Amino acid sequence: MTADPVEPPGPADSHYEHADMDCWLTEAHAGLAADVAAYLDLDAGLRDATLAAVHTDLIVGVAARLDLDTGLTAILRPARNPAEATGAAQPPPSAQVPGDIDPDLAPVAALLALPAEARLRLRGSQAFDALTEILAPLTAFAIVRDLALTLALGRAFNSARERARDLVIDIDRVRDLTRDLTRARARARGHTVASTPVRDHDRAVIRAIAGHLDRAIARARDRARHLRGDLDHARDPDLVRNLDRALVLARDLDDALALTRAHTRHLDEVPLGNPPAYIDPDLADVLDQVTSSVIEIPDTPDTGRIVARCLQEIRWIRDDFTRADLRHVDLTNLRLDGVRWSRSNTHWPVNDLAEIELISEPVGPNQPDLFVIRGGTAEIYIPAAP
Amino acid sequence: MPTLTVFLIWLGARPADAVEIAQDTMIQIFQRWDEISAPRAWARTVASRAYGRRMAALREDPTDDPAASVPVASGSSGIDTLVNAHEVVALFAQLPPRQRQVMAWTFDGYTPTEIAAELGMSAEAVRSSLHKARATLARLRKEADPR
Repeated sequence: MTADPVEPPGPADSHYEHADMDCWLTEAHAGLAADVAAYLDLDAGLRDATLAAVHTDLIVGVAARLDLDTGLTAILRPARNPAEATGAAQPPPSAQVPGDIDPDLAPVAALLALPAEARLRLRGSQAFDALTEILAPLTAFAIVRDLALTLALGRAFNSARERARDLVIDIDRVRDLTRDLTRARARARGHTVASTPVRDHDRAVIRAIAGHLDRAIARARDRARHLRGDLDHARDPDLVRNLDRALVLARDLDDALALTRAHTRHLDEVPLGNPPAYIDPDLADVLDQVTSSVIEIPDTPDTGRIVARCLQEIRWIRDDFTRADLRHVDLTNLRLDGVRWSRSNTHWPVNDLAEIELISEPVGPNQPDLFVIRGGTAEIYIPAAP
Repeated sequence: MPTLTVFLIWLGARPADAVEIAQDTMIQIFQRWDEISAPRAWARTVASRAYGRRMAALREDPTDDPAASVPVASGSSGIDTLVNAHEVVALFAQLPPRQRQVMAWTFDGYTPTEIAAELGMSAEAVRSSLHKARATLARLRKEADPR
């Protein structure tokens, strides 16, 4: 950056009647410019002006020296076992190799480590569906509990606080019952896998626990409704923001509880050992372990966030097969509706590809490579080959 | 950069503001160099508008000293004193805004026709403003120094 040359006024002004004045002004202009130039640190100004460009050059230079594709692949596709080394299944972006897993995701680590084929088989399992359904109300429970514990409520909120405390007790009860139910079902499933008849005793235990769970959830829902009513009636202007938040959460909780109760009823109605519910004992153990870990996540201010993240990961485990190698997987009787896959990165068994394409539709107009297998009222099965 | 600063001072900008606006304008020129066909005129137009926006948004804050944060201003203070020591600055401060504007463009080497195109006015109006400005400056100078 150099000083612009000072050009004298041109002769364009036809009324050049003030020659002396123009001479004086030209000299004054030049003198002022010289003083300003001496005062300014033009090198510092140049450095300031070029700072953004230097920064951009630095980023471009660093990017040119890094193999970003390989690095990204390493993040997205850690080979956790020989089957995965061939690209069988990829964890979500937040998942790492088991030894380096995000602590928040420790409860679901065993699921994250499963190969794609095992993830696909899990989709047909009632227990896996139950795990997903349990996580949703747990998230709401955790958030409501945090709210109940942290809100500095005034006298008008005493009743709400009492109800929130009762609700927390109910939530604990629901947790215990859910855990008992899951374990009882796992035991019964063990009998089924071992080709032994399910004992009537096991069925009775499961039904009893499910009944208790159903009642506990109903009571928790009533408490949540009452809590919401109390909050509705409170009129302390200083707590408006907290109230709004609490109302939304109470509504979420109500919905989550209704979902859980419906699912519990569904669990009780589905006969044990039904083909879609069948999974091998190893996977059943993994599910049992993960379910227990999830419902035993300790109560901390971060519980809601952690459970929400676990839920996100489990949804990924269930639906995302966009980079999976399934060429050698027998798709017979597997539940595939909702599976997301990529035309370029998902490898299906050659004989099933046409059928898969027939029952799939694009995810959206801007993602021509991504498809989702259609859901609907009927479950989609790839029939056994004749 | 110095002449752009003086241009802004002649428009009526405080010296410290003039330095800051000039530096911002130079940064913009640097970033958009490939798109700009006439950098000198572009710089003056952009700087004028920036000065106008600053005037419109001006808040009274006598303790504010923007120059202190501009790298190109080597000292934290002093440019006001330096600039105001020039008699021409005091005389220009007494001109109406339009006359200051056409004088600033003129003493940066632009003809009345070019100034008219830049400012969206007629060349005659530019010449008229120049004539009045010179007359006013001559009178003010004579009043300041009757010899």
